[in-house]
Amino acid sequence: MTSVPTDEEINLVTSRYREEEQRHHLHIYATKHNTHVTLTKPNRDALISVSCGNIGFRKAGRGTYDAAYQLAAYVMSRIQDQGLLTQIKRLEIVYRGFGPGREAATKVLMGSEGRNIRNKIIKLTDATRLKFGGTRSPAPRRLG
Amino acid sequence: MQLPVSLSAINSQAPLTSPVARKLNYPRLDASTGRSIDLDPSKGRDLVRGLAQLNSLISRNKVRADFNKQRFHERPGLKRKRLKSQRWRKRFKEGFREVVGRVSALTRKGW
Repeated sequence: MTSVPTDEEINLVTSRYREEEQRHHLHIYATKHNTHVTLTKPNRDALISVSCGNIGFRKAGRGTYDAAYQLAAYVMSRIQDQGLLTQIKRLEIVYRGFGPGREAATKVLMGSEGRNIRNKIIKLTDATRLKFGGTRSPAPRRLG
Repeated sequence: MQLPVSLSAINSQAPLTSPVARKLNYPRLDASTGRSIDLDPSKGRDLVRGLAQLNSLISRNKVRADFNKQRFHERPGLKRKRLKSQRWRKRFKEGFREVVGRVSALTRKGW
């Protein structure tokens, strides 16, 4: 029983996953009351991190579909202005949460604003955080 | 000094570039790894298809339902009540479908 992996095994694992490591990520965190869009480097350092408040929406306006659409469009234009299109070769879309921003950002990606990065997308992921048991949630609200 | 036979055999197999010297780069393996879809335009898995696949995967695994359930705490008594009514409704639906299917089959035959 080899507890020590052989050299070929190491090469197999590292070479295949070294090139897979080199994907940028576009995180779309869509809560009920806001949407955050973050573009990160392969090592998960943030390059662009904005939410609906940055666009100019306030309070309840931040949690709307329209705000999220404008935010995603803004991020596309920022990517272009900062010249990141040449840097980003492979892109992964990471969804988190089920707010209105999820659909809105998808529409942007599939529409004319996202035409430049659509070809670079190689992976779609859902990273919604779920508890396995976990801490106790607040009591259910009794609204009228 | 002569090395014992067993030691020399081990030394010939273990190269200098053993994992002690190199770091193994394992991929990221967390909860989201199982909920990811690789897109492959050459095999027909483009963005639209991939999104549809992702959505079906999420609904199959009840991610959205679990997420909504976890927002507020449901005490054991209410949970038991909810499960009881859910199970009854499921059972009733099956029985109802069976009866309706039987009736329409008979109607088709002319009864």
